[in-house]
Amino acid sequence: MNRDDPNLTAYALGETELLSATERHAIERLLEESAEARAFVAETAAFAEMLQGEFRKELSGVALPPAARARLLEQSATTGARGVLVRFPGVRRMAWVAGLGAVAAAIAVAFWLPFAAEVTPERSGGVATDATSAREATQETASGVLGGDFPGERAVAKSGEPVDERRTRSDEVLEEGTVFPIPSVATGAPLKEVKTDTALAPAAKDARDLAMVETDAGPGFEAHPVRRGAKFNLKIEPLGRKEAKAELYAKLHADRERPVEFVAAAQNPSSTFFVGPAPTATVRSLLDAGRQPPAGAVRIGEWLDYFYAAPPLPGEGGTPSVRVEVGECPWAPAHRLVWIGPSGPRAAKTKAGAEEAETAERAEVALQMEFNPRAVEAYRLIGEENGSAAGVVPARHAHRAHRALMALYEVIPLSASGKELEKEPRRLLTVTLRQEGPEGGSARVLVEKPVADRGTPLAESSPDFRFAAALAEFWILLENPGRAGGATWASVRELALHGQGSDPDGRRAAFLRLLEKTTGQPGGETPPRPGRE
Amino acid sequence: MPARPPDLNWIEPILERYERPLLRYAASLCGSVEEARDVVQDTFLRLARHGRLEADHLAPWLFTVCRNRAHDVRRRENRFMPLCDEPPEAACEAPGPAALLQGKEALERLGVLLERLSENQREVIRLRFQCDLSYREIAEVTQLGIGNVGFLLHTGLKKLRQLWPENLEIHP
Repeated sequence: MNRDDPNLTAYALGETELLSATERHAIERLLEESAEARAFVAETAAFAEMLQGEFRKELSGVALPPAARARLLEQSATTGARGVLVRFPGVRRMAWVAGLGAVAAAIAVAFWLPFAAEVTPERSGGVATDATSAREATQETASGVLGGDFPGERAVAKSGEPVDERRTRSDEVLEEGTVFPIPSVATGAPLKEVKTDTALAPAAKDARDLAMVETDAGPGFEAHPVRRGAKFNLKIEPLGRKEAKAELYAKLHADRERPVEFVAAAQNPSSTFFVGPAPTATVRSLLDAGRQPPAGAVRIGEWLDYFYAAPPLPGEGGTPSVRVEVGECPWAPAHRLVWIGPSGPRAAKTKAGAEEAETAERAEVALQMEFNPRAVEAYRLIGEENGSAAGVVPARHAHRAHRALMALYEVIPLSASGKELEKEPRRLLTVTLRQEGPEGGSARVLVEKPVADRGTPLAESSPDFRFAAALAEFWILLENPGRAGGATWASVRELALHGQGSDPDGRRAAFLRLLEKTTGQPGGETPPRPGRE
Repeated sequence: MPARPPDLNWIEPILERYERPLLRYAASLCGSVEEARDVVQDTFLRLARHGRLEADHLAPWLFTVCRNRAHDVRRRENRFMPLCDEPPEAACEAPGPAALLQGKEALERLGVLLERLSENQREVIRLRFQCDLSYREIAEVTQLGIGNVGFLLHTGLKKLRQLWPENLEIHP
């Protein structure tokens, strides 16, 4: 008997369906013949059961906090509907869409590219018959009817299965949070097809104005681009028992226009991150190529690091110091923007090869912001919204899991709602730069600095502050244009222009050139086109 | 036409079923209960935002998201993953399991023994016996081939049984 056959363990654990018929027969024959094999299987099964029992004792009293559960239930209530899901995916989402499978990818690409390339006011057009002609049709009509027959769907239609085609015209406009019912669709029947007719749609300004309509038809996936703000027709073809009726809901799930989440200062006054040089090669190559990064690709730490002089840190000589500036938040004037940046001359530049070693040395430096709940209602770290680590590091740079010694916080002061408790000048926060001791050891405080808000208007802010604000608006417009507040491409340029400063190495000028190149005319309002590799 | 309200509580049974297995799994990856709570909360929030999943896809989806988030946390916390599958050499020089197990509680015992396995073995064993995932689901979550999962479970169990203290008998 071969005890080293993993199939024997699989058999003992009840994973018989993984075994081929031949393998199963062989094992069963072995068990009939060999007492040793029978003992092995029985012991393995018993050991497995014992392990399960032991494992279940672990953390048996641990659960999610009640508040978290409540939040989950609340959140899930908005996605509980079966039906049609409309997403505003932006460019970032395309990677995910493509990942869903070859068909989905073909659909997405076929429909996406023409619109990313050019969008003009539409007129009605014919329904395309496959992905290729769909692309052609779309290009010919410049938009027209975006619904199309996809290979998988046609195959079903041809098979002669009953198709209950219903058409509904929605008077709703595709906006965030709108929910509308789609009547008379068979209960439990997967939606086989959703066709959207966006002939009623206004012209989309750019690719990011397009949405993907998805159905929750199980593992199958269908996607049609429609436009934000569009009125549209939905043609729904459920498959299966058409006699049963129910209402399905369409959840217009504006994924990109996610709410901006702030952290309440009263509950979470402290915000910490580890610092070190962020990789800036991507920034450099995008600037060199004059190409706007796609949404999701901008890690603000990298961008901040690229445009500012690196401060000296422990082990580099010089005294570590932090510069903090509080000023008007250009996209939300009632809010304050806190820029934590370097102070002092640029440290000696590191050679490319030495970067990793140096990262390791810097690894133990952390920056902590302690917001004053008597002056601050809530805050958010720009670049790290919604719990995402967008501003931290890409996964492949795990060994450089640090961000620049630079951060931008958007702060909602209590004064914005007339609730301010702190007397002038308002101490907004305390910044601490500390060196972490070895594991378990105590940290050494390098810098601790209370920061007051003197109500500085934007016009009196330093060039460095304004340039940082330009980068923040740039990020916001790429990532969450629906929640950009007062940020526009013109204001990005304006801020960057006045934030250029002495610009000894011409990096900020390169950013301005990028803006001009991608937004058309200097100061133009055309949104930039996402860059494509 | 009257509108039928959407099923507001669809996530509740999922919470009931997967909250603890995910917490245990996340804690084993993050090494801290607090971080595990954050990771699991975030996993469920993503599910809530995503909406329903087919029953077959639910467990692999949850554990995959949980695993990715836990790894993010680990990276951020600067606790890097070992570069190789094998446990560090030092583990072999450590006191033998029998000595370590004297007077310890069952869980600590198990934890000590698991430390002697490779990271991959530990993970598939937890996913199988703590989280009740099938071979196929484990392969999906860990991105390992299903044959590899079978091999790791087989060798991992074998090693665990060898390490298991003699005074703890197994009764088939």
